[in-house]
Amino acid sequence: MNPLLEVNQLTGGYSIGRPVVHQVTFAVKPGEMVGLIGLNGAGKSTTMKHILGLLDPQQGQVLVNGKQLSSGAEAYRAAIAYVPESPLMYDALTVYEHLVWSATAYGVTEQQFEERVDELAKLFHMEAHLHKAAQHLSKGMKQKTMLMCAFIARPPLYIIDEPFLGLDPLGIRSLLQYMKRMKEEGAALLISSHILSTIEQYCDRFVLLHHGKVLIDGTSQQLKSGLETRGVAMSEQARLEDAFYAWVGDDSVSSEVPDER
Amino acid sequence: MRDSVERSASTSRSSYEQADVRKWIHPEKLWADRVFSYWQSIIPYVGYVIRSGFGFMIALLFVAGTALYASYLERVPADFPVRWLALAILVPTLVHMTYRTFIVEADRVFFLRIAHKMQPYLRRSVRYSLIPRLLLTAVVWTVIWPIYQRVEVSPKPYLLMLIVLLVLKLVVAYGVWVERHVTDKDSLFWLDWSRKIVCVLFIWAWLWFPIPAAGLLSGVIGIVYLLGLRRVSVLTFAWDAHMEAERVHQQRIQQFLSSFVDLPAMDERRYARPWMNLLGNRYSFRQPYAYHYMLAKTIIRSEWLGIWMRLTVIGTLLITFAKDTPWNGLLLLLFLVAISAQNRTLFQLHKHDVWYQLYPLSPSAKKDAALTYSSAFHLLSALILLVPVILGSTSIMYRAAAAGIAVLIVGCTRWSRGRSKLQDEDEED
Repeated sequence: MNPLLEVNQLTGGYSIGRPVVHQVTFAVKPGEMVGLIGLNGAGKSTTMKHILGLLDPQQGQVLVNGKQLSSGAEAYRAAIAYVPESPLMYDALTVYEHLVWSATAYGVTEQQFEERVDELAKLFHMEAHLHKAAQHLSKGMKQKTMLMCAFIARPPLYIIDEPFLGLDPLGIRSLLQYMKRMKEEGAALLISSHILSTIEQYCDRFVLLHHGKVLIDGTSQQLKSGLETRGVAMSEQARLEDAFYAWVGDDSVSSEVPDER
Repeated sequence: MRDSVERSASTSRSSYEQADVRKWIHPEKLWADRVFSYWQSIIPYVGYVIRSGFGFMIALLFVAGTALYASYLERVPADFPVRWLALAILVPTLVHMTYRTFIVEADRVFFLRIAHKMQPYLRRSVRYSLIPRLLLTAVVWTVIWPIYQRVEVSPKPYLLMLIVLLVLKLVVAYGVWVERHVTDKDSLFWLDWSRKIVCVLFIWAWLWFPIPAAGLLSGVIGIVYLLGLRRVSVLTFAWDAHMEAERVHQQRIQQFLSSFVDLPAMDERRYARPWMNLLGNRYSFRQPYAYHYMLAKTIIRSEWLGIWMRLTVIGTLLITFAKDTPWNGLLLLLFLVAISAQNRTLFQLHKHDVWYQLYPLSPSAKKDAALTYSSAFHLLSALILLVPVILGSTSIMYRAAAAGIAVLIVGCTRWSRGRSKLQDEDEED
């Protein structure tokens, strides 16, 4: 199966000559959920901005459905829905109007919209808040609105930056369930998160970025077994967090951590 | 040992607090720094505003307005409703009041525990905000005075009325300050309406009644209002309200300046206007018009729409006063130019919009939508402003020419904006 998203040898950042990400390469296939993980400043958000076309690569390329942004911006963007780390909402618009705006921009029909909006509002417990203005929403509700705007469009690829920030436990559960469903329906999802214990069970693979470079790209098991090349032994039952600490070299954590589950 | 530790901790805490307070709270210096920083951030843009032709337009409006007013004074009819005109102008001038505090979000973190020591800072804020508005009251009364004393059968002395209006402004200012410290929405609703009613009754009393009756009536109204305000439950320090007011001020200034120079976008103030909710819905689920939908929803809740309505209403009223004279053509021209200048704001809305870059929209979607609404509102205001011109008693030829010129101005503005639109796209490419 051809990858939906291909990031090939991407070097880029905010200033020419001072790249933040170096030679980053990974791919996401349809029906796959990939976790982009790393410490603060590792280059996760910068990588996402390159994928979204908000930054130009200094080297390498980003392909969505085999095509670059320059070969057709509208088609490229129609294939991606993005959920930012901090909600970006229009103060003037209500939640419902945000959803209509998003659906209209992605060419969703009114009938499809009506079906999806009811389901999403119920899933995220937003029925009572649909006609509230953005400025009257809590941070969690704003985050839910951003997620709903992405899911109402149903594109083949989702780029989701720190989706759990501000969400209550019910919201997190609903989001995970919905992402799993989207994945099963063939969507590709790239998720950046620091909540490793949560995404561990849902992501098929992880791309670990450190200082702007890909340290390892693989399944949770591959992250653990890959540590052997560094002379670190880790049991199969160890958590993703433990493997992560070992990869990024956190001295405060033992390299061999017993399974606490 | 324990005593010594406690004494040491107490001494250290006390000296820390004193040092902290001395370091941070020099209210006068803090206030001066904040005002200086604010003006330092604004002044660099003033040159752009003047060079844009805005200064010329204001000067032209002033000269034309003065000439028109002087001319009208010569032939003002004896039955001119000067009391109603004065009421209509004085009430908006007096009823509105706002305070600049330059309080920023970080203050709530760093000054929270010493808020009670910030009274000198707030006194400076009140003085800074009040003086220009008292001056504005004096200027407005001075402008009304010539027509008032010419038409009014027994006009009250200029100075007495000025003092009365200044006293009313002080009462309103106190009311607004109390409102700033109230959080309960119901109380705020009633306080807002009480202030408006007091203001109308106060001015009405002094325009319609003889001095003793006006003094008695306004005195009773004022005292009841002030006593009522003293019974309202208020916050000791209105952090949220001060910050929200600052946000609104910054947004207004930024919106004004962004019409002349490229500035980063700020959050826009939202006006609910539920009766307009349906507007823009015709563009929903029509992908080529997605931005039309979003911009329509923004416009109906924007401050811009309020300004457009005020300009159109004031223009229509002034043209109505001059509907039987050729001066109405000049007024029509001035207001169409002013509204056209104001419409430039529509092209600045959501200027740095991330979703516009991320959603699958055509590169011209945003500018097409702004051009559509800019032209539509310009045409609508032209049609409204033309109504008193058409109903006036000038010659048929004159009225036809005025209508033709109005349509020409709207058409030329659209053509010009359309051209600059294409140039912008070229630059972006």
